[in-house]
Amino acid sequence: MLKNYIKSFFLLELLRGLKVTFSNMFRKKTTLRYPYEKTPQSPRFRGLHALRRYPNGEERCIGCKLCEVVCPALAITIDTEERNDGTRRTTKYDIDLFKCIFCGFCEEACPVDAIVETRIFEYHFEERGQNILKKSDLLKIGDKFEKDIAEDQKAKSQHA
Amino acid sequence: MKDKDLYNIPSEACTKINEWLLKFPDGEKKPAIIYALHLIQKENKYIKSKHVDALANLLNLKKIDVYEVASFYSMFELEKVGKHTISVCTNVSCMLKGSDEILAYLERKLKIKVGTSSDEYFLKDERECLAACCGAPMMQVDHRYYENLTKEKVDKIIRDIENEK
Amino acid sequence: MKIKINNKECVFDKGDTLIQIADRNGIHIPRFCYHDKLSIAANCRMCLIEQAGANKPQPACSTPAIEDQEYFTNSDLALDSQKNTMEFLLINHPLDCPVCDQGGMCELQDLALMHGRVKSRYKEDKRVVVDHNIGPLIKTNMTRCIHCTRCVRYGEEIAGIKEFGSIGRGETMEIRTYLTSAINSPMSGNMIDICPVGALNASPSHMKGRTWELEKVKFISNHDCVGSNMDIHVLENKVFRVVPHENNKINEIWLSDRDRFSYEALDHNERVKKPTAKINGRHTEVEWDQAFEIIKNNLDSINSNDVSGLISANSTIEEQYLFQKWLREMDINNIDYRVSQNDFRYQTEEPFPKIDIPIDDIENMDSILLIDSNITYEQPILSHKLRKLFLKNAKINSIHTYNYTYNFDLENSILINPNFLVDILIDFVEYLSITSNRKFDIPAEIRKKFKGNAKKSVQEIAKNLLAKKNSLILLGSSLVSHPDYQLLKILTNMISIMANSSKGYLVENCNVAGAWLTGCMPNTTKKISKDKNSRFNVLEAINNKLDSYIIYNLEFIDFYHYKELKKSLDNAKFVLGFQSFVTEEEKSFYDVILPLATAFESPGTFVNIENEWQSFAQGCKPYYMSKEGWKILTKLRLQNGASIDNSVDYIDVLNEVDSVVRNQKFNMEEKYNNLVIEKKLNTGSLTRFGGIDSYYIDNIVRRADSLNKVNSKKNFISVNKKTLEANNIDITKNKLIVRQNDNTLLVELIIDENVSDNSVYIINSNKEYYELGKRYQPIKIENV
Repeated sequence: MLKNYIKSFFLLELLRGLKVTFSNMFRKKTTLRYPYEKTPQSPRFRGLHALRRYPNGEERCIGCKLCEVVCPALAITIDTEERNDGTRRTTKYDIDLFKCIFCGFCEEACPVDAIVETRIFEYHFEERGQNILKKSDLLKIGDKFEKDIAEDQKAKSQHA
Repeated sequence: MKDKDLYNIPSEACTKINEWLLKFPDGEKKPAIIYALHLIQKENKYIKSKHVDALANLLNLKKIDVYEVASFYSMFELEKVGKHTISVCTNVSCMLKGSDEILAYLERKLKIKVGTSSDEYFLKDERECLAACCGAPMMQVDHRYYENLTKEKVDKIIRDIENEK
Repeated sequence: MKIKINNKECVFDKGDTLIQIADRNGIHIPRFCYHDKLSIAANCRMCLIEQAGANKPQPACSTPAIEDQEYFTNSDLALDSQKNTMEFLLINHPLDCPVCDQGGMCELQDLALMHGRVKSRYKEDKRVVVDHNIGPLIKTNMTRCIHCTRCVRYGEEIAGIKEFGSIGRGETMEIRTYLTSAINSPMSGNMIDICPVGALNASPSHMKGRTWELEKVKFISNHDCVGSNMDIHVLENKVFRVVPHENNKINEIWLSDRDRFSYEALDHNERVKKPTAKINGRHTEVEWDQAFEIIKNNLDSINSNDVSGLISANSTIEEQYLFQKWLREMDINNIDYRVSQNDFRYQTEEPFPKIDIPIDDIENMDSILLIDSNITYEQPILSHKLRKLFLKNAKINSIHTYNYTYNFDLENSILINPNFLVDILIDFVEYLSITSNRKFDIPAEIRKKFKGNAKKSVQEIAKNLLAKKNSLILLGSSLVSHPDYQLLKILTNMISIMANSSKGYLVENCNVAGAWLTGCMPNTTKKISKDKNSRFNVLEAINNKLDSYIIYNLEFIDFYHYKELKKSLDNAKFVLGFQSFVTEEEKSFYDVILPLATAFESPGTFVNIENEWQSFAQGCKPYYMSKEGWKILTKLRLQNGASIDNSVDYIDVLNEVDSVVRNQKFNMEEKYNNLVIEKKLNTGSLTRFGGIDSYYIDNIVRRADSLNKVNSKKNFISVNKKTLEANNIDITKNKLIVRQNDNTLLVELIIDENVSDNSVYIINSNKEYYELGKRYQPIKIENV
């Protein structure tokens, strides 16, 4: 009984709580001041998609539709045709980012490393319809970040 | 077999093939292909597509049947070849004893690549063992074996061939 | 006898191979070269299994089981040898599954997943094989070939025409045709199916889609009278490809090229897209309702006796039933389907177009007589059955007007001018009347024609028919246009009765039996029509120049009386067409054209030559504005005030057809009392004969692109040397002019000893031949 009175009189529990507070005040911080600071990313980060090209400028995608069929969210739509040189190429390659769950299966299924997920995660849409990435958009992203993507791909292949 | 000339097969060969056919059960024509191809090759140096057509016609077989046999055996030539056929064995035993050098030397000497032919010589790459490992390296010139080859020996063999003419 | 496989007891008969026993017992053994319809090659070594006590693994496909032995398909030894075999097979196999048409349905892919290593240890260069063009139907990619030789054996054993061979040996071995020759077998497409990898692919669907995107719908072949079962694979509402559907009673697992590749015609530019009507002399696209109104107004204003309805025997039985019902409700009774027929005598004996025995029973025959049948190209599936017979040592005889190429050998054959076909059959009757112990009342008219002594070859064939217990006589389908067709049928029937054999009248179209059953002809059973007056058949309808014609799913060249038809249509007041395809020229003859869905795009039923009813579902949606035939006809009947439930659907129609026409009797007359024999074909000069090119027989096949590239479409005729000399033709030139009435055509000449004397063989493979004139008519040949 007396023990409890002493406890409440000297605010011992409060002090114990404050001990945690103050001890954390001097520890190294784990939060970041986004967007001024950013977390480090793994090369396997699954962000915005991109379509890659070979160094000679030829697009990698051969229209095998494996990504389309493996996509669990049915976010990918592909149309293909046979080009004059006898190879199959896509005429349409759409990814609906509203549907996409960023599982990375498309990247894994791709036999030619054409569709990849980049480290880009900061993007927004201003109009309806922008959520669908067209083939030209995807290639543009790929062209822009090819250097980074190539490095990431190399790093990833070491884990395989 | 009515019109022998129509089929491009010389009449003597035709008779020989017919004799050969008698040795097989009725209706069995395929065994005669090899024998007939030998006869044709002897006469013409190599087997042309018209000969295949003719033989297929003669034996009442499909052309592809004859062509299968002709292309399977390395002793039948389907492309134009020179007068003399030289085959250098490049199987394990010969290779270990330096057949590659002999082959390269021959290529240089005759100025033709393996598998090609000049008017005079046809340098044939015999992939399979010719069963003369005891005398490796060896080569075959016009179906005659020459064993324990050295560059000097090759020179002599070629010289002999040229002198024979 | 018993063995144990994986500790499971299995019963077997002597001589059974292990793979057969395992298959029967549901034990999986991987295989590539083994195929249960082909001979055993044992060259892929994928089926190695362990035999207890034996120190080496055994190939299950070629090892016969030994009694009381134990076998293991999943022991370490078996699995290890399978894995090693697979590794070797994959050494030279390219890793191009993502661009391969076979990807997703590939036997190599499946087995590599089950029996292969995760990673290849092979780092050297892979083999590359150059592809050769082997024709428009099969696209090769021989780098993918694993040399199982299934296609070589297929050609040798099933198709009967060996076209592929294995050239070279060892690493340089290639599967290819001789030099540059193309594949020419009418059943070549099956090689695509049996190829376990992507080396042989269907050319028309090459690179156009992936296997997992396709939907499968069962369908019945609509180009011959056999009724092969097939699956159509649909991609985005278009037929992507056609593959056989296993049916051991009819086509087993095979399909003819014609059935496989005809779908290409479906989006041909001659498809009718919208209903069109001639308004003020010009064709204008109209709405459906408008078109129906025009039809009603026009048909109401014309006397029903002056209208003729002609329907294709390639339409479904539902369409045929509704077509005649629609017309008969309007009191129009001049209906016919026999548009390619020329002979309409002996109407009361119009026999049901049927083969007496089921198709799979053909395999049990021991003697066959073909009467002028180019069966290998016209009914490839039946020809395959005959080939099986031939391999079982049955005797196949033939009477023909041209030495057709068969995929079996003939025992006896008689080459005869088409003028004398009737006479030779009478010779048969004469010989059989003496030798047969079956008493038959031969009509006096035929007895009069007896010559006293039949040819030796006739005797041989007749003896053959009599000697064998199970014999079959097949009347060729191209004879339908023969001027003595009915007579030939009657004589065939007589011969079959006296020789105690079965018979079959082969026909060109897929649903002739259906048209006969539904009464699409003037003299039909009372169940269908109560009409007692005699009505016009197709020939009379054309010759009488009626006011109106209704043409259903037929092109003008389908008619034997092609030119007369055009003249009659020109004079008619109102011509209505239900058409899927229409050419610019034909369009001008029609007043109204309704776009009709093809059989691929509509549900339906075909009745094949053994009277087997086979229904199929709708494969894909009709092209543009076209509609299924049963819908159009139901709408037309509704417009005429017929009492039909508004919610009627396809199944109701099928049920109605079934209940009305299914159980009809079709007894063949066994007596011919008042038979008058009058041979109509007697040209006395050069006669033109020859069937229709097998890729030109109906409006769909005619427009199938790849199929029509198989045979050259050049104009040529075949004549034998003797005939040429008799007509003073300069043989050195390879061109000549043929003349029929006032029409001439410049053609290439082929000197061909397979043609009978005094006749000209023309395969009708393009329109110019139809413009020239009719078959079985006198023809003249002249120097250029």
